[in-house]
Amino acid sequence: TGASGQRKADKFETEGVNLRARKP
Amino acid sequence: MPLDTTRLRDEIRKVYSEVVGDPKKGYHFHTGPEYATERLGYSRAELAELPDAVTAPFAGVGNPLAMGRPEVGQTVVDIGAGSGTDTFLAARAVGPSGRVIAVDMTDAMLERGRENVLLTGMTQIEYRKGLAESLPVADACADLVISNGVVNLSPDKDAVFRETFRVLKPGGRLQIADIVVHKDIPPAGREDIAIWTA
Repeated sequence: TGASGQRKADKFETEGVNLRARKP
Repeated sequence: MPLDTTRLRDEIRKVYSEVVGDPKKGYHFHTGPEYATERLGYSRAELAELPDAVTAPFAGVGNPLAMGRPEVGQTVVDIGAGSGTDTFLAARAVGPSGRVIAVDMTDAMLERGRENVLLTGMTQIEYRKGLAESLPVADACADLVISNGVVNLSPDKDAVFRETFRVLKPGGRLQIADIVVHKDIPPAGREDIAIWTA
């Protein structure tokens, strides 16, 4: 959100992710 | 000049202390339960059952519990728990026989989180002060580790994952929501605290 957040998102190709893993 | 990690953490604490005091002020990230339901898939009904003091300062970037809920009686560690939206949802899932260890480095968030525990009576939640890179949690005690918008703020991400691995039981799960970049950030950018926090 906001100009700053969007600027960073555009500049560094930023995205939000949900990640998961399992410890063996 | 290398990144001043002490100053970085101080700036992060400053931002998130403001979020506790004035969650609707307007930040470079969204806040609050409307955003969580509209953009991130949180259940409106579930959030409505939590006090505003829990959900208003929500500043997550995804939905870690959408990937699976803990079971009754299990132990969850929430890294960078903040005021506790994910923490309290996890606590409802594990029930009184389970446990949620909520770790945060910001005093204002710890204070709010502990107030919220008293407010809700959900004493299976324990707030602990600490860093993601050195969790105040015993080895191999967690069935599930969650975090939401936290790892991107760590100056030592490898340490965060090492610590997560350490505290997980064998077969335990990691479910995190976070921000990733697809373009490399140049060294000057990595050392610029404003890039991290504004």
